[in-house]
Amino acid sequence: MSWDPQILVFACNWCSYGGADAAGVSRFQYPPDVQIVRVMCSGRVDPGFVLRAFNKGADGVLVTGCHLGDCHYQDGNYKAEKRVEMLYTLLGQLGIQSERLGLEWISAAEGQRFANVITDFVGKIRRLGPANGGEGP
Amino acid sequence: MTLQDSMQRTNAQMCYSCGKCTAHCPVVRVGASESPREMVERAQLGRDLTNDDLVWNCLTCKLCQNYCPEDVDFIGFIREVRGLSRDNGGKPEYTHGEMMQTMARIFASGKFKQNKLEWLDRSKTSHDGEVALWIGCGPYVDTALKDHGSDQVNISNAALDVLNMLGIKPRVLDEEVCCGHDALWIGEDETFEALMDKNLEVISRSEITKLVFTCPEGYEVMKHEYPDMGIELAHISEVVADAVDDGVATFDKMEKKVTYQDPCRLGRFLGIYDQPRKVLEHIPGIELVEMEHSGKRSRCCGVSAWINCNQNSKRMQMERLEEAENAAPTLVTNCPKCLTHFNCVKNEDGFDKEIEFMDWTVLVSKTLRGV
Repeated sequence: MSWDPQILVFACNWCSYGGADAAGVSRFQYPPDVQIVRVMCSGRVDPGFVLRAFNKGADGVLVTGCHLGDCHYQDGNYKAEKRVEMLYTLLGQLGIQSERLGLEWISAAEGQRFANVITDFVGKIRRLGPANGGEGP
Repeated sequence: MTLQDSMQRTNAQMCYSCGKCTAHCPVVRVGASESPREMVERAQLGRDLTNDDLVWNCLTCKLCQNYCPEDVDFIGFIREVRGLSRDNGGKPEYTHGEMMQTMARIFASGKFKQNKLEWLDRSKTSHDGEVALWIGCGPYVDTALKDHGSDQVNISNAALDVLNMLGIKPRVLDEEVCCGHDALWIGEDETFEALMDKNLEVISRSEITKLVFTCPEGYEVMKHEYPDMGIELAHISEVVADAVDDGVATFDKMEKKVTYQDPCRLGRFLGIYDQPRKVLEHIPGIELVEMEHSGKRSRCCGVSAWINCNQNSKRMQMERLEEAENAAPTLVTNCPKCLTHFNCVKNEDGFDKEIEFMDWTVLVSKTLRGV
C-alpha cells in the first residue's frame, strides 16, 4: 500500500524560511512530503495551530526557527521552545505520539541543514506511519 | 432552523422590552455595544443578528433570566443564534489559539486513544464500584494552561481524598471524553452530539449508579442536555453536605475567613447554593462572609466556554475580586474554571488585590477527617 505522509512545517521569515530558499537555490534535494507555512517568527506558532494540524489529518508537524540567541524579535524562539515542550506533554495525553512534533533551529545560511532536517523528519514520520493508523477509543 | 423557530422555542417573541435583563447584564455593565433587550427587539423586527456584539460576548451566565417577567430563555436564544451564526460563517474569538475547541473536536473524531490519567493513584479508586468520579478535561487544561493557574488535577485528587474519607472508593471511567459543554454553548452541535454519544456509551457500559462531579459544567450538561441515563448525578458538595446531614463527617479546625463564589452552572443552572455553604459553616474555625452579590445574584468570573476573553472579562474579574476582597481575604470557588479565570487575572499588570483563591473541594479535603 502506498502512503505518503502529510507533514506541516512552520518556518520563520528570517531564518528557517531563508534556509529553505538557500536549499532551493543550491538545489539540495529533500522529500516532497512537506508543506511549508511561513510565519514571521517561530514564536507566532500557537499551540492551537499544531493541534488543528493534527485534527485535520497531519501525520507530523515541524516547527523551525532561528538558532537560540539569533531571533529577529529577541526571544520569540524561546517562546516557541516553551510551547513545544508543553505540546509534547499535551499530545501524549491526547494519544498522539509526541515524536510527531519536531522543533529545529535553522539559520538562513544553512540550506544543507534545512534539507537534512526535512529528510530526517520525513523519514521518522514514514517509520511511525499514519497518525491515526488503526487507533481509536 | 430559523430565527423565528428559535424565538418560539425560547419565548423571545413574548418579550415586551422592559429592559430588566439589560439592567443586570454583566457584559452591558462593563461596555457591550448593545443589550439583550435590543437584541431580542431586533430579532422580533426580523433583523439579522449574526454579527451582533452579544452573540459571542454573552457569558450565558443566566443572570438576566432571574429578572425576566416573561420567562424568556435568553441564553437558550443566544445558543441558537450562535448555531445560526456559525452556519453563516460566524465564529467567536477563540482564546488560547482555539486549543480547547480543537481538543474537543479531536475527542469527538475518536481518532486517537487518550492517555490522560497518568497522575491517578489507582489505590484510591476501585475497578467495579457503583460510584464514579468524573475527571473530564482537567488534565488537558492543566497542561495547556499551567501558566494561567489551572489546577484541575489537584481538585480531582482532592475529590478522591474526600470520597475515600467518606468511605467511597470511586471508579474513574478511563474512556470518558470531554462532556461537550463548551462545544454546545458555542453552537457546535455536531461536536457536542458526537461527544455525548461516546460518553453515553461509556457510562452505560460501566453499569455505575452514581456519577460525582467536581466541575459544575459537566454536571449541568449531563443533567439538562444528555438524555436520562438512569443514574444519579451529584456534585461533590452535595455528597459532602449529605454526609454532614447524616452527622457522619467530622472536620479539623481551620482558621480562615472566606467568601464563596457561586459558579453560574452550579447556582443558577442547578440550584445548588446551600450545600457548599452548609459544609463551609460546619468546618470549625471557618467564617463565611457573603459578597455584595451572592447566591442567585452572584456575578460571573468573566469568561465562559473559552471564547471572547477581552477587556470586558478583565473588568468583570477585577470588579468581582473587589467585592471578594471587601468580604474576606480568601475566595473559595467551586468551579475549576472560575479558579483558572481568577488566577489568570492575577497575572495582569496593575493587579493590586490581596486575595487568596482556593477551590472548595481542596479546602474540604484539607479539613475533612473521615467518618
